Amino acid sequence: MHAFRFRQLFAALLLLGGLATLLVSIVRGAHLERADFVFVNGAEVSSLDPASVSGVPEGRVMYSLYEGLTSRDPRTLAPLPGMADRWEVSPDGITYTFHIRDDARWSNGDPLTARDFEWSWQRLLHPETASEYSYQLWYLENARAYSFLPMDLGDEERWWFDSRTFVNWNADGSRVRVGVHGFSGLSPTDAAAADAVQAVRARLDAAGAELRANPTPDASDPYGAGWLFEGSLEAPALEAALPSPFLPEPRAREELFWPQVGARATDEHTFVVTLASPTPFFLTLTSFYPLMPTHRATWEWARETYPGTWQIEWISPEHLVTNGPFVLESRRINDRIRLRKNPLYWDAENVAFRTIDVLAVEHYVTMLNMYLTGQVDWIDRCAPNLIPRMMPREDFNPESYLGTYFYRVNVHRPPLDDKRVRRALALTINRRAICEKIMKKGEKPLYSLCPDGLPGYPRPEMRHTPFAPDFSDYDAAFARDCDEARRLLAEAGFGPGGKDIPSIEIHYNTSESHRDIAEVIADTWKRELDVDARLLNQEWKVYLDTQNTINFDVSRSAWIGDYPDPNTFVDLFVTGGENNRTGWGNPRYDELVASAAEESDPTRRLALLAEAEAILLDELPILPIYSYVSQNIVNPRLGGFFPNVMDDHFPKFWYWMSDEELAEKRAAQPADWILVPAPGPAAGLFAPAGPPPYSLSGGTQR
Amino acid sequence: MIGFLARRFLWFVLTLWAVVTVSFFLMHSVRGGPFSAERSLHPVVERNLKARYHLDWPLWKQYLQYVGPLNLDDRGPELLGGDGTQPFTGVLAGDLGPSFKYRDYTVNEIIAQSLPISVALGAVAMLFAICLGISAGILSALYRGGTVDLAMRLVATAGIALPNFVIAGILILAFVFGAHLFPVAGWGTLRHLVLPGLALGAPFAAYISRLTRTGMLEVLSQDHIRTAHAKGLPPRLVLLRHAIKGGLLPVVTYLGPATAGILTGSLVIEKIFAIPGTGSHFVNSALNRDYTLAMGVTILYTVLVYALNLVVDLAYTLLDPRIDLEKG
Repeated sequence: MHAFRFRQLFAALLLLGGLATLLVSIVRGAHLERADFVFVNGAEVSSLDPASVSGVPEGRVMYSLYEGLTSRDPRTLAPLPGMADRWEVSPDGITYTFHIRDDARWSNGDPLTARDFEWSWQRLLHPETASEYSYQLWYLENARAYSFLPMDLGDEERWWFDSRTFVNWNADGSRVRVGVHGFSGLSPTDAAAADAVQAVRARLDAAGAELRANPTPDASDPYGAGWLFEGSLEAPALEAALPSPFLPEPRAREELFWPQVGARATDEHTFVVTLASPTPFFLTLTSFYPLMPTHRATWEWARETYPGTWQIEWISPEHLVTNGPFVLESRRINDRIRLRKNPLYWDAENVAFRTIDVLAVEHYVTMLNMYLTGQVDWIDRCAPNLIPRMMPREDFNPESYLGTYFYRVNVHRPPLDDKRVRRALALTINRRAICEKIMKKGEKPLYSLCPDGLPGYPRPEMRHTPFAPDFSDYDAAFARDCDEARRLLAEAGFGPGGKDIPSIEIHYNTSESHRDIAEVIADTWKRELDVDARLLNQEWKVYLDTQNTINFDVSRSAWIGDYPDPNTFVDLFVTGGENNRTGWGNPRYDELVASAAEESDPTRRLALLAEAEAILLDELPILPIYSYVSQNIVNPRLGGFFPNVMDDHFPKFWYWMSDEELAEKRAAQPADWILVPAPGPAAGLFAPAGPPPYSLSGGTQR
Repeated sequence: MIGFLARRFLWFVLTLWAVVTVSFFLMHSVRGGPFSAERSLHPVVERNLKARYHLDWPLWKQYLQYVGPLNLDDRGPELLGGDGTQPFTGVLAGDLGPSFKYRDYTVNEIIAQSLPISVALGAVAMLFAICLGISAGILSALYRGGTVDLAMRLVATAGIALPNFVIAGILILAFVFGAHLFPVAGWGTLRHLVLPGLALGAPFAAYISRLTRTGMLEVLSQDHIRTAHAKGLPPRLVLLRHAIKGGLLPVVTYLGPATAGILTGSLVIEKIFAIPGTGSHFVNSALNRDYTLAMGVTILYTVLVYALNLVVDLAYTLLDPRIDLEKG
């Protein structure tokens, strides 16, 4: 009996003791002192490799860890010196010469040179990297073709290249194709292309192949290399027939083609970029994170040390070498990224915070709780139901930025194939109700694709009755728009005396505010136009699939600009573009967008884009609804944090205001704002070694 | 005993295989893929990405590659960034693959980082559930029908009826915004685990208190307890030495399902309290179509639940010698 009880007791003690030991051992070492600045960054970042990320949370970390050739003014986003301290632009806007600063260093002390940029850009473009944002470099000469170099697809596909032509065959040679590749500058549909492949063709024919002409060479072949002839030939005979350079190795292909891409380090400090056509926003792109450099030696070391594994060792906190204002100290997935000031950064004396914690928290209420209890200093969104309570506070100041909320319309489904119907639907959206009753943060009603705030852009709008910005005469204007809509429907043969309008399905991804907006719109359409609208919500990835296959009537959409230029919006709707997703296409539109890309005069270029957008707003494959505002809730003591049109924020410039500076700031703000606690060091945290960094003068432009 | 373990192991292998196979094909049959995003990828980039992760292979081949142990990838690891070929791969070789969403991590690394945190949270929740549940149950049984009993049973009913996220909200209001005792969310110290542990353990504490009460009442009315009282043993000793042992057997039975419940229940709690455990990956990976991570976490949970049930079965023999595993 006693022994039995002992066993029981022992088991219980063992269990409890085990649990306690486990707990202590797990928790020990997990604790970190609070960083100088802590912010919530939304979802966990998908990577710390600038070449394989896209997304706002990732961007914030990239702007801390890395720096591109240029950086951005936190207010205007105008280019500031970065790794390049000056640059020259040729008069035709094609050639950029960047001079890398003498004190540019990697965080391990290695000098950072122009060659690092050349290598990093090659890596971004390389098909093996499969970077989502490789297209940000396609403005470079031949860069697009380089991205489309066929990957080594094993035994399935073999390739041979010379300067203009390619031969592609499968392992047994039963299918041989000959064509011109993307670097040749030839379109496969040109007559000159056929001449270019004659020599190769003759060799293959002489070796016994019988090549037939391809009746429909396709210029839109994704490799940029439509094939012109096809036939068959035994593989050994074929390989014997082809003169060198015979290039089975991907590495050898790189050596042949990389020199043709317009990115060249002419010496350690000079980086020359040749663009395919003048790109006025190119200096903004060079500060964008995909174009930031990565440390070649670490990357190659990891490749050799850990062959054939999925481990990405060069990016682990022990090994990652970066060149930005901060370095990576530690990282725990779904928890935090701890950044530490990089003492080797060229402008380190103007970086205030010694440590920054970047937290991965997705839950609206959780992040607000953390902010309200002082655990974090900045959160980037506000739970929708709390907006009215947050609005009067001094730490919540929504500002417009380049984001558009709109509905895509499937222009091939009746009755939406009639542009009068689309126009009627676009007019009959009560944008005031959506902005004021649902969104509530001061969103602006939108009648165009591009939102307001694009410098110098003569933004067109779809035809509608104008109203005052404070909505005082909105109802009358909206009533007139509804009359016009009814007239348009009647003209299209619908409504009283005409056909009944088939019901329309509004498709959106599952979310409360999307549903509310869809309900308001469906309701208005029913009341004003007698159009039946059903709602269909889908889980995010299913919704994307539906949208990509254009299997909807009307589908909720949004677009956030990549860079402050209308091109980032207008470019979406070129015929067949992968982000078009409406089935709409207009040759004149495509032509205008293409000629804008070639135009070197900035004013004329913007006029061309505006003309294109006007076509879009006349045909309306989209129903514009409102433009976005930011929802930052930020500790009032934070300095160096400014609203801007991209809602981009750069940790390099942040600092804690002293009590005096905070008082000064509060004196300047509207008196009816509710003051909130502003925790932080009362004496401020900023090394006032130089002038405020954002007032540095920019580069020289010739 | 050996025979029992061998049988259980066989079933374990079968169960795991079924879980892997069914979830693999279910996962891949859901619409949308890991690389679909609002900003569509260029078709060539998408093709390159898919090629890197073998998503361009027929599904059966992807399945064989995933399960392993033979590496079917004859392209060599050129694409992964190395030059030696790796003969073995897949689940059978202990490799759960790369995460599609968190590109810097393999699934093994993600689990290694997050599982201890979930275990810590689960341990705290379990401690709360056992300590609170058993004490409340015993009190209820001792003061049967009294105010204490009524109060305890009321709290227990509430604990069972309320979902843990509601309890979490109440706890946050009371102990963060009311009494400023604990941090509202995050991870780093034991203090961070108190509220989530309590919220997660509460429903289980409620169940345990009910089970304890019933078990105790049954035991307390039995002859040997009456005999002990009649012998003049002090009530404390009767309780500790004779009643608890029998009264707690149902609780032990419940510990297996409770552990499983705490593990899977932690996903909501981890989200509310921003705790970087495995639970949040369970949901997010499915939403992200992060096939490998979703599979990895599913496998992990299968193994854990199975193993814990086994431990509970073994614990029976320790507590009640009448139970014979060979026959059971």
